[in-house]
Amino acid sequence: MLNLKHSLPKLKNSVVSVLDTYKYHFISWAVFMVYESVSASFMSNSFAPLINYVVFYTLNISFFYIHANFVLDLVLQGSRKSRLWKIPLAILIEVAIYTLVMLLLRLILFKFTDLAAGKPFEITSFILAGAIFRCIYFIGFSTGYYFILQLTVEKKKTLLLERQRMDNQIQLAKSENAYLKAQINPHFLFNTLDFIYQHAREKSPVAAETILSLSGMMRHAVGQVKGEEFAALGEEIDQVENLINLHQLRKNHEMHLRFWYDEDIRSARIIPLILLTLVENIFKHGNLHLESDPAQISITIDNDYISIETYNLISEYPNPNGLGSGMANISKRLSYTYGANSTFTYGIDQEKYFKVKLAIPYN
Amino acid sequence: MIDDEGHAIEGIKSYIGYLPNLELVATYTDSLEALKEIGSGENVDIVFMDVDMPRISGIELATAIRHKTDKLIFTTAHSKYAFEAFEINANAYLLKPYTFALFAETITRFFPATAILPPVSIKREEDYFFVRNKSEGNNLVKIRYAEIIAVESMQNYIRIYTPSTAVVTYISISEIKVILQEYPDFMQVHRSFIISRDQIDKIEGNTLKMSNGLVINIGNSYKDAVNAYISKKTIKTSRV
Repeated sequence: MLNLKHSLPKLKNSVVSVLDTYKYHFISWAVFMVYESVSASFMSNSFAPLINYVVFYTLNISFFYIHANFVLDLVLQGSRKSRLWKIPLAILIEVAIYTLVMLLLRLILFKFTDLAAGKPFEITSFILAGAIFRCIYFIGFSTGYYFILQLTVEKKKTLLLERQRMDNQIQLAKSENAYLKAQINPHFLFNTLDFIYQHAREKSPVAAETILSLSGMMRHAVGQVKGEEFAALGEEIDQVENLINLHQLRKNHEMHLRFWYDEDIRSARIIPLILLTLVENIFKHGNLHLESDPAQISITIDNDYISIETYNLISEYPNPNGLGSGMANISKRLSYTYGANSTFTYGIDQEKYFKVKLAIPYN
Repeated sequence: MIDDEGHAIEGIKSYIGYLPNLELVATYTDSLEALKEIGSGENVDIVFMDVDMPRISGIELATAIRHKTDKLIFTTAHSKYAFEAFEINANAYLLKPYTFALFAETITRFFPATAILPPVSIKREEDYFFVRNKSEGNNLVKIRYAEIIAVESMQNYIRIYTPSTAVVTYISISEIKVILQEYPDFMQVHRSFIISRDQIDKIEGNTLKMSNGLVINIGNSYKDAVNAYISKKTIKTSRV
């Protein structure tokens, strides 16, 4: 339901839009009027003339909206204490005005129609009591309507605030992203890396080599075409070599793992970030310190299937950054792209090895 | 050589210094100045230039002076301009940072006469050599050819397996291959493995088991050579 105050200009626009905006009001009132008049007619066994309904319901409905939209706003404005006298006073004035207007309308109807059928115009205590009852009855309804309205307005406000907060966060994320992008602006990034490389080349060949491998990985990350479904396996193999090299450099080449593949497999196309994720997992969760039992990564082709197998000793210090989500993600992506054509199994073997076996169609 | 970054000029200067047949004529950090001088100067063999430069971009400069140089090589931080570069007949595209090895390889591809001496050279009549062991603070260790079981490639490093140890050293597999090919015992069986045939213990399907327990997969492109060697060495019965 909408607040009448906010939509007053709309009244000028067109009757249709008003009817549409307040359709629930119209429907409710229609149902209410039918309900009241039908039940009244059952009790008194007669219908009042139509003009009566029109006149008095116009009065009642006007009172309803005046109370909800103006009187209550006025009364509830001040302090809590002032309400103690404002509310009874307002109701008293309303009842008085209502009774007066009702009597006036009765008089007009009496004067200009012959509905009274010869009876004299009189003001009985029954009529007065009826007017007061009707007035309080509609004030009650109207107050209920007012609070429901307030509730929806409050709700909308909270929703708006929530949305603004969300917008704020999105804006923040956007600017953080822009900042990040500026940092990895390729020209800036690689010129800086080149600068470090040139300076480190003679004084610290190991540092220089590390920068080269890092640049390779960064170039791959920056250059990756977003949203492309397939990538050349060779590119990913290069990144795996870079990744292994970075780890080996940092650990003085004391990590034991072998990466087996044949040159001719490089041209195969597969969905990206499968191989890299598996190798990253080995570094995260594997024990690569045993020379006699190195981790193995192998890519082979058999029977028109590319098969990627990895095998590593499980680290004795479990990495808290779970493995499950990465594997679940690979599984989802494989079945999304290759459906039943791919197989992906992984698990613990002999209580100390982690093995992964994956097969997807070759081209 | 044109690059608005000083360190890039310094880098290429030192690379050129390693190649005795290469002479650096001039360097510019200002592309406009380069356009004036090269445009009115004598023809040169190679121009190296960055792409992203203030005033005149590398692409514009290259278009203007392309006829003055035999080879044109772009050296740039990222590959955004690769397409435009090849449009104006650039010969190569070096992405920064690049190694001396890649630089030298690119130059020798265009000018074979500048070929460099193999950086690793040893007296071949000896039955051993020394390498720097990375795990032992780069101290020199002696390795006898007869003791080598296998050599494993790890990017720019190799790991040499002997019965007693494994030595990691900063040599590429292609360099050690040049040395080892003098000795008929060695053969490459995988992109990243050279083995001593003497030290093969077992052949199981597609894998070789070496005397120290090392298991090596045979690479596709090396299969024929390995099989030829194995069948030559296999004693078969003549009974049917």
